[in-house]
Amino acid sequence: MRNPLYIRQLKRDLENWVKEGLLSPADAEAMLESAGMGGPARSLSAILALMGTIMLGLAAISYVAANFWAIPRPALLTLIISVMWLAYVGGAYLIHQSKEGFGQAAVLLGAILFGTNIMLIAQMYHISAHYPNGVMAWALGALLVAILIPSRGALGLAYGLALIWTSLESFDFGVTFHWPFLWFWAAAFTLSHILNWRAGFHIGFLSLVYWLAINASELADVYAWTDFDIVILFTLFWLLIWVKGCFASSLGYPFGQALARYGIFFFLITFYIMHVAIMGDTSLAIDAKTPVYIMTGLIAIFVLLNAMRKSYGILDVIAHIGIFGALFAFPSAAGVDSFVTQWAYSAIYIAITIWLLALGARYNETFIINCALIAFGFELMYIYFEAFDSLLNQSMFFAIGGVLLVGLGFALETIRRRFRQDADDDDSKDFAEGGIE
Amino acid sequence: MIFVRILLILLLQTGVLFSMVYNRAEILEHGKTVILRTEPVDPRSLFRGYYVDLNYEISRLELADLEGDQQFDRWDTVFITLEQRDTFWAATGVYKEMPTIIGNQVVIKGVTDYVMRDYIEDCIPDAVTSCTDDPVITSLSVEYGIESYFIPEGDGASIEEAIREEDDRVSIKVAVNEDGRAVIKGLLMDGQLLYEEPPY
Repeated sequence: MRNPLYIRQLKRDLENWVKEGLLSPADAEAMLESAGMGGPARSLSAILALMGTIMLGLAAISYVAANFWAIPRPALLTLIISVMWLAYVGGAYLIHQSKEGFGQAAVLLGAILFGTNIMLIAQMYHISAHYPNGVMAWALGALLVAILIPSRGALGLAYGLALIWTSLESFDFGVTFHWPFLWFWAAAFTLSHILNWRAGFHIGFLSLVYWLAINASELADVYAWTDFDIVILFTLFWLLIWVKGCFASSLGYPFGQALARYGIFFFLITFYIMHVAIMGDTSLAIDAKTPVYIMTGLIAIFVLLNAMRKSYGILDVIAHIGIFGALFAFPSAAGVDSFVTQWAYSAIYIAITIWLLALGARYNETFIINCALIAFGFELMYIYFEAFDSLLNQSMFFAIGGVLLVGLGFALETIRRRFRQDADDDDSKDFAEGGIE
Repeated sequence: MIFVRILLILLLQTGVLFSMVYNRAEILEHGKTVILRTEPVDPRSLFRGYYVDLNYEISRLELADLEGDQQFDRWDTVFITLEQRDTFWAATGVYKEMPTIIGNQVVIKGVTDYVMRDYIEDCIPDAVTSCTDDPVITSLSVEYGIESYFIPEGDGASIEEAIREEDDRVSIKVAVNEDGRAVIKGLLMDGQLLYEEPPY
């Protein structure tokens, strides 16, 4: 099924191209039909099949759960395992018969029944010991199905269960750094790529963000890191994700753009936290220096590679060097004079948002433009409410910033018009010399 | 090819389910049986769905009354020696490693849920006494994996009432294997077996 946004955009473009005489209405109609052909109806039937089978499965399980005392144990075990077998074998048969949607729904039902069977057996034998293990077994079972079939639905289920598993281990059993989750995540994330599943990529990526978030405080405790260390490390981490995403995108990696977007989004948040909330203890802990150096090195390599592959222009390289400088200067700057630091870092943050606006405009990336605008708004709010001790200073900051921005906008518009004029002149010249081929 | 893959999934997943059943059934069939006294639990957490939360006399261990080790951390695996006192079995020692069994003892394995520390008696911090300023471990809260008992729909209220009414009305028959793993074998009300768990 095509993305509805893509279809809408295509429809708009085709209408414009028909108006401009570039396409005939018949061709436009054919293209539109081809782009959206067969998608919605087929997908809807698959979704309905999926929802229906899930409800049937849950109904069966509820019935068994409510009556497990009335049914003899061997009969009950045979029943619950047979239903699971039926779902899997039915799924295989349907997939074999090219009824992919219904087959996938049945296989997902099998994966759900595997988990509910674990719970039912735990209920039969009154097992309550370390219950996250039951969720882990279910998650592994779902991942196995996702790998072998392969099944996107089962992979989604596996991600969800893994999140519950790591949450239970962390919150209910106080596990510091639940590393096994990362192994599981690595396998699931790799599979998302193999299946070329965009939603899977996003679920996987956000799962990692969640894991990092719930382990951040443990990280600080174990290595005696301060809040500043954590923020600096995360800021560098997201910067690394950003530049790596750009590089991966230039290599044709399908999720490179999404990776870069996540990097930009979270980088703007962590950089904002760094200069807004972290003032005071800004010395970097010894143990934090190694990951800082490693990430710095990797970022430098990716920036260089991006420049070599022409993904980055000279302005982008300068901007990254500037961000680096700002990050590394922050501990000493904040320690020396927090007022000057507030001025300087607010200006730097605004400069970053403006650069991102330019970047978004250059690549026609609405997401980057929106992120930059929101970040810009937050920075202005911070300046207005918090940053300066007097209204005069505030006023001066806004006045200087306003003049600079208007001036920058005027300069950019002048350059854009000059380029447009040059391009029009070239076109006229080509036309006069014999027309466009 | 899809059928081969499905077969592989079925064999692995069914294997996991059967191993769960087999492990518990083995303990039920061949484990040594002990009867444990239950204690009232917080009524707010008594019911979650159709199961009773069980709290045993051996769920909270006072180290001063027991033999064995004295240093524990939260989530430590512990081994508790049980000896029969009239009908019920009671804890006699707590160890970090599997102890040697003496006589008719049974060892049950658990995990420390909480480690309670306190200043020992007559010890006043900062006073010139023979004791240290550091609190010592006085008691442990231990979980054995037998803290839930699933009941037929509708039967919960009477068991809940019995547990809350008075001590000793509800007790649990538990099977324990030689590794210390425990499985609930039955529920007794006023000494009478109300529910019994078949291995299969």
